[in-house]
Amino acid sequence: MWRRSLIVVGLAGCGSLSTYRTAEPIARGHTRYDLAVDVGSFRDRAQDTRTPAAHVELAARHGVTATTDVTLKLYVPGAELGVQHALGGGRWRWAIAAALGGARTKEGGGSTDALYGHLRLTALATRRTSARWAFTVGPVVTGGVFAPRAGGHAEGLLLGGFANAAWRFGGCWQVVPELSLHVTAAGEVPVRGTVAQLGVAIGRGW
Amino acid sequence: MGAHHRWVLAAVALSGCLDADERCGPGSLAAGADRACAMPGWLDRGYDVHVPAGWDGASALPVVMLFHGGGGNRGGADRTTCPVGAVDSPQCLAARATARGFVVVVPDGTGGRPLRGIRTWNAGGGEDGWDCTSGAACQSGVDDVAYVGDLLAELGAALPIDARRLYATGISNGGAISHRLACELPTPLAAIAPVAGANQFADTGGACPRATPVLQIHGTEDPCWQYDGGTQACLGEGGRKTSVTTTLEGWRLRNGCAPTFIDTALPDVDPTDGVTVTHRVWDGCAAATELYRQDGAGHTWPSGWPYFGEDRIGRVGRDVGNDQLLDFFASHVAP
Repeated sequence: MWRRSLIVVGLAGCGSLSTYRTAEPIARGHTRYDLAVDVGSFRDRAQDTRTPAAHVELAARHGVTATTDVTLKLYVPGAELGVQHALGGGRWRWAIAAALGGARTKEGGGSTDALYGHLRLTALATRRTSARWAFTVGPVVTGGVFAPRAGGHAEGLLLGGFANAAWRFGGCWQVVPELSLHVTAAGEVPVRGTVAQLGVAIGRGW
Repeated sequence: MGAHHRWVLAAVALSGCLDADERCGPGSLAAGADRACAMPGWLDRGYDVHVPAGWDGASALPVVMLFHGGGGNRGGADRTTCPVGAVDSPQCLAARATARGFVVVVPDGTGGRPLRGIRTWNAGGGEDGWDCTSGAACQSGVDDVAYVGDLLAELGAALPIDARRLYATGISNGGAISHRLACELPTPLAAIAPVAGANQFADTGGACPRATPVLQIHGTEDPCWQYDGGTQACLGEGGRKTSVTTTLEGWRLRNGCAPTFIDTALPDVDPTDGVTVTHRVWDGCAAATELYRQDGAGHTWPSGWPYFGEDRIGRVGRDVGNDQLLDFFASHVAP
């Protein structure tokens, strides 16, 4: 029997699991800014809980070379630095990405006094079907660590994947709805079970 | 290298180092100490300890263990016992207990995932339609009896505690774990005073062979743990909870009491609270078996904090309080 947990907004401490991008690099010297919101569900099988969640993030992605860009992402209540490198391609464009992030939470609102960290590795495969539309899929591996003030530590490894559709409009704008699913392969951070997220990012490039 | 790029990196949101709690080892707890202590071997299961200011530094100390309710944490546990939630009040349980020479220990239950601050105790149940009391700790089978055993060992390394004067109390899930500890903790408790929580463990088949003095405190209008048991719950769905009557019948038998009792109407100290209290004492007990039946009270601590509105948790009774609870503890020593 599923047991519904508290509904929360702004999930305390859970790192970003989102991608909201294609494998296509940002042009050198250019920057794209994105605002994303998503809703999700964290299911813990051992504890028999399902926790709904909502998430907001701001990202700035800057092209440093023709094939490599770096990203700074801010979310509640953490931050993340990432890098993506395009591997080229033809009808399909390929890229790999890595991101390292963390958060500090305080006691209250369902959270505890703790540090969280995560490392996320993503592979992206993009098929651009028109000047406006591109579709991207890929696997995601996320490692997380939970270090509470009161002692001990816990880790977790999530295996998952994502799919999104990027729609360009107005020249520099882009909207990216995305669905991602993750399963705990080891450990218990953030849960011992599954995570599902559905969200949308809207951004503009300069 | 190309155009001049101005690239400013924002500071990572990790606000410096986490100032971790330390173990409260030998010599770290003096008279009057109020410390947050790490609990080694358990993830994020620290505890607060309050040492009497009048302790002479050598005498063995009685220990009151205060267990928070389901979904709560140690930070809110004592606040629940305070009039109108005023944590600085000398009437809070920790303040009254330390003033009377008790060490007060307030531990943290198991955190949920991913909401680590939503904490619960494994107080039993979970089969044949019985509520698993409660939440994540019960569902995942956390051994909270072992945790409390480790907690007492850890505390005993830091302070000279009196193993014959260990007491447990708490509200709701905290009350229920008090019952379970009386049944299962290897070191017998001198007495327990569960508030708004019954013996889900033993009443659903858990082995509970030991006699233990019990003062059950429960409101007849409790919407979260109904006096007569049932499936009504304040948070989420749940199975059946045992009744106060069943719990106390179990203790009556273990404690060697006669089936007869004496009911005494206690003074209506606060006639405006909508609550009156009947003190029931079973006859001829080898171990005291008593009940404060708070007629009209809800899922609340006696003379404590209305942590939610009356429409959700019912009334707070103000005719008995922490002193009566501590009087019960003070009058019982384990054999």
